[in-house]
Amino acid sequence: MTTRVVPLKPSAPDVTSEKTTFRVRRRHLKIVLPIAVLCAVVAVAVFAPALAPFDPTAQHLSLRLRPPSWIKGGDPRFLLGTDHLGRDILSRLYYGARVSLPIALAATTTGALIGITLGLLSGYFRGIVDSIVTKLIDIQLSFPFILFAIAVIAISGPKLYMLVLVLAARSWTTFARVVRGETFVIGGNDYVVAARALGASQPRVIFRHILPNILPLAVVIGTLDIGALIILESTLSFLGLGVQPPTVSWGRELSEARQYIQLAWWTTTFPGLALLVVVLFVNLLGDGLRDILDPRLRAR
Amino acid sequence: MTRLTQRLFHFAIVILGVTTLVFIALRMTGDPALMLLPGDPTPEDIMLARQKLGVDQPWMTQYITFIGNAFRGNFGVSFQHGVDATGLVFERLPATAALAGSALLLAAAFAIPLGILAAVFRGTVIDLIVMVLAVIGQGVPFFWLGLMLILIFGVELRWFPTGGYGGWQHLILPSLTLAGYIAASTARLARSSMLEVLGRDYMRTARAKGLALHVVVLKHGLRNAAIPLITFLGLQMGLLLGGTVVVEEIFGWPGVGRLLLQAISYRDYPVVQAATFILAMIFVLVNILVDLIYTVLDPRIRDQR
Repeated sequence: MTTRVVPLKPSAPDVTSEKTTFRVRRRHLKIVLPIAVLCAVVAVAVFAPALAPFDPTAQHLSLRLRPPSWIKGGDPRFLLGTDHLGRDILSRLYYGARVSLPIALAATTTGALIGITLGLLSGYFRGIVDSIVTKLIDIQLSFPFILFAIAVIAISGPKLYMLVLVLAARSWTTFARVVRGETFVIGGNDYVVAARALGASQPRVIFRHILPNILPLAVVIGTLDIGALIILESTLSFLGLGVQPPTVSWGRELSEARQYIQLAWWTTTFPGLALLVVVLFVNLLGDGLRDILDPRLRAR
Repeated sequence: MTRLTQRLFHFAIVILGVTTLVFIALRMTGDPALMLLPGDPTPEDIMLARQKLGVDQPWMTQYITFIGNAFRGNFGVSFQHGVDATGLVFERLPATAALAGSALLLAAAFAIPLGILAAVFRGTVIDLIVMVLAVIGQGVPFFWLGLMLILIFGVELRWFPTGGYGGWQHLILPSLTLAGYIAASTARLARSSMLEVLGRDYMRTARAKGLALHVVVLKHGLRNAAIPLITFLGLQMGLLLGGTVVVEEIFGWPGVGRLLLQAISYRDYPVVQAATFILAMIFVLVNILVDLIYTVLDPRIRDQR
């Protein structure tokens, strides 16, 4: 696997001494590995039909619950073994990658749009808008969100767009809270005051002068949020409220495999490991991006 | 307004907001009458059932009746079981409380000392190990952690039962799973709040006057680092209460969470409303308690009043 180095502007413009240069490069190293791993996952998702040895829904009923090929009793054709219907676990893992990441990305994007807009409005105009938005955030943070998600999906039926909307509903508060705080601070800066004094309209001030300064922060929050959303999606799928068969999803796999946990450890182990790896590297990427784009957040 | 009344007002709004959300979400679709009637009911049967359940009234009337009754602790009779919904929830509450409480204790008992150790020995191998554990911990889907614990300690080693309700042996695996859900973030927060305190002047003074490291860290440091930590743990109760739903489902633990999941699939409105209301109340009460603990711990807040 070749590791691609994504060029990023150094965070400090005054990179002069040897020592600082080295530190900047080391910080960049922290995101190279996560990016490489996630690129590999995306590649697997995109090329799943070509990579997968079997159709993920193809059943081999005479070869049910076969252990991984390296274990006694394993079949060399099924590297990671088969599930309770004789489906190839490796192929299902490949196809599962096509579900978790796109759903989480769609949800984060929706949540970001709502959260950034409300955060900007409430931080810029303050007053009544601000009290409504902060109360909404408070209410949401004060309640076990998963209960709300379960209730909404159980009642509306497990549709894909509902899943994305529910995940977005979980995601917007993080954006709104941070963006609101930043807008407070940036709104008081001299250049914003100057822009207003020069007669810039309010939309212009918000979109041209404040928003660009908030975007790096939003990228960091978004990345850190994706990991949490992937876990939430898999949890809902695990409860049977997320992605529905025949679409393969790691969370759904785990809920089916659960009944065979006494007989076949591999069916519950591998989908979970796949989730763990993806979430882990998304989180690492978020941490790395935070260090590069917004060093102030590092302590948090 | 004093700080406390301000907080109480805030919590009242939160509870009202939560119950309203649940009320609306439950009524978005689905007719409980259809779920309950067996076979092929006639339109008259459906009408009668809806009247009996009170869901034939306009939403607004249902809402006002609901809020009025909620504050008297009366959520009506369970559609599914035909008994008082609040009673059903309270019957299941001890199991959930045992699970959430032991998980909180476990998480605090492991994560906080680890976080403090990492902070005190910042930049050493200890710090590295704790942080690596925390990063991995935050990437593990906690329901999968539960499955893996069942696999290792239930199926392979046979140390603990794989599910069900009974003695303390039944509690170990579910409560470890739930503790794992919040342990990583707790350890990270313990580390960062301790790091912040360690840099303070009074810590240097305490060391300079010859106090041993552990005395300084535990007496001067922990007391100051405890304030953000306790707030954080209070807020984590929300996650814990939500997490119990999933953990109870995995381990067949007969708590409020499982009751709620069943009630949702039957559209058993009274039970869903009673369960969510009571869980939200618990969360709010815990956070009021946290507020009170603060005032004891922190003279700066205590003297404000």
